[in-house]
Amino acid sequence: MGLLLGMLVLVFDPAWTFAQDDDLYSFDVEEFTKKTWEWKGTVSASGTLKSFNTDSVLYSVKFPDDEPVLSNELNLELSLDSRWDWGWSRFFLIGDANVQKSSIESISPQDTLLREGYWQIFQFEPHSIDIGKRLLRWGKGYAFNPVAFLERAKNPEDPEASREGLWMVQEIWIFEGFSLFSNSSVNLVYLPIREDLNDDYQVLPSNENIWGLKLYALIADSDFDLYYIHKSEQKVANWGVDFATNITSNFEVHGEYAVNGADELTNQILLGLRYLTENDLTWIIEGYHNSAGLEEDESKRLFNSIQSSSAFIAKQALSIIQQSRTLNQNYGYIKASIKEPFNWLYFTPSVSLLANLDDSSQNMNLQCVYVPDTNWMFELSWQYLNGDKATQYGENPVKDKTVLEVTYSF
Amino acid sequence: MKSMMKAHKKVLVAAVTASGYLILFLFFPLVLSAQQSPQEWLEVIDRNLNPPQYEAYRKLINIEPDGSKKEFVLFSLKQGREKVAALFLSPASEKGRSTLRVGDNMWLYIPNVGRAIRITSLQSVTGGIFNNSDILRVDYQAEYSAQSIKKTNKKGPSGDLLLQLNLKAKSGFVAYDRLEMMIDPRIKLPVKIRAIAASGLLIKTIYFKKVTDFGGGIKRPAVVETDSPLNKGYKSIMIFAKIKSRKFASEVFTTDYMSRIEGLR
Repeated sequence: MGLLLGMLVLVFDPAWTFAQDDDLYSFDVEEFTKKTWEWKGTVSASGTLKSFNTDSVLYSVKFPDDEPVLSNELNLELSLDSRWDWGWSRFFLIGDANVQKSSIESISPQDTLLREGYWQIFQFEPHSIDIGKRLLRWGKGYAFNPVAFLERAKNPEDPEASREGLWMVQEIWIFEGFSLFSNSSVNLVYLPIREDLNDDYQVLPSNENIWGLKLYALIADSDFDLYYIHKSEQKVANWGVDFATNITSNFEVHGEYAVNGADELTNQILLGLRYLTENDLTWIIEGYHNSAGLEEDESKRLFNSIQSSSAFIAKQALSIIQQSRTLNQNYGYIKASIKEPFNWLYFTPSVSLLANLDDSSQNMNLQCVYVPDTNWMFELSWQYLNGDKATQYGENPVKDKTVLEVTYSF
Repeated sequence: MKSMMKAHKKVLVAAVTASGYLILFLFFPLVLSAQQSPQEWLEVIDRNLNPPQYEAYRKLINIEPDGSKKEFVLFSLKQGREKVAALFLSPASEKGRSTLRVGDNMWLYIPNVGRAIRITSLQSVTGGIFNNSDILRVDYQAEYSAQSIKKTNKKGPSGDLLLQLNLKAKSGFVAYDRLEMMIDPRIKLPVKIRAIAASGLLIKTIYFKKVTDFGGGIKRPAVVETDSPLNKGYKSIMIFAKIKSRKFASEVFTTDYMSRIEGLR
């Protein structure tokens, strides 16, 4: 009884209530004073179970000796992101260290990777210069970026995966727009290719100088970019445009168009949208066309030729197929994610479908993300590839993949 | 006789003057209110909530029905009526993210993604009840037209009767179709805002608490709280600290600058 009375007094005691409010409203801002050196990191541990497509023509090329049906992989990754700020310039270092253990011996673990490492000089704002290894990430698309001329290709199967930058010099000039533009900027990029510099980037001559120009403007509530790339040794020019705009407060549309000016002009087009419904369901839908991609008959011939060709040529074909990310001309991408359905707190399930529209093969991914605390994330995903014989996803050596990943940020 | 007349006149003048002062004293607050149109009230509220250009630190707390909390700390900048930027300082998983708003346009920069992605005002970069338009709040007059003002019979923190200022969205880009803003006329600050959809549905109620003097002539609520009948049991709180006037170069409020906002702290 005494305890009950005590509790009642506590609940109805205004001083206690105000003290609770004061505690809730407390904000020690000095804790967030800027430091010259700041860093953050993540540790992630994941377990992967792969089931192989033993009927695939690529399976026998990838595993010529043993014939695994399943594989288990354990992966531990440490990512660090560090910044030094001296008031007139900054230095960034972003890298990963990775340990992998697989039930298949042929899969070798990668130890460390410097994703980005560059010095940024901003003494003369609105001009700034970046020197070093940098990832540009041009374009507006989610799964595809036709205008991403100066970066390693994005994987539409996993658009949010980290990528490695390229060694370059970039100058950015942000300027007050003309009367028509709200704001504008100019980016100038120099990307050298040498024997020991950016040598693993695309199939290019060992000595090449690539110059890039990007012009940005916000015009009438829409983002517009214009791109121009010049490869001085090959004397080839590429150009592109992109846009993004909000149609309403919950509806965005975007698009990209790129022309690659080699011997034969090829072009790529992307159109996409993001739509948020009233019940917090986000849709991302994109359509992509690449005129340089193979037609359905050509890709069928490629897969059929692997079966009849020598091991060396078959391995080369496998490498081309795996590196190109997109093989045919037309692709569709659709992703639906819903925040906390049925009031399941901190839980975001999503489903995405990447479809090769030429050979009608599909790549589906179901994902559940649970974030019980701001710095802890649990992710369970299941990827399933499906298609007929001699199609891109029907011939993939992996049939399905289940991944459980735990990430801690610090 | 003449002197009597003079004395009477003096008394009359004094009486008229005194009654004039009395009338002015009694009805001055009403006269002041009546002088201000709904639009003028809206301009006063905007100015009292935000200096024309400023920087501030904010803590956002999302409280779930089970009592658990998620906290975010942001460094915010504002210029003019419709340019706002914010940089996430905490938690570690969000550190380095930044958001930018220029009028109806909003972008999110995530270091891992490395470019500015367009977002919409109804989404929320932090989750919880505050959506992007609440987190990147521009002046109310940039998004809403003041339509009418009326006196209510409810008392505000100053003891004066609250005024209800009715606002209507200028376009379909705006997160809420109508706002009912309850104003304390003495302190000239909002006490509560009801955000209403075009269908008439109450989307959320925003409460302004703990009026604090931040120095430099900035006196405004340090706490903004919100709840929603659509998300029963959830509550979101925004706490302001270190608000101070600061002038920024125009290039700061551009997508190319989003990765560099940290340099302004």
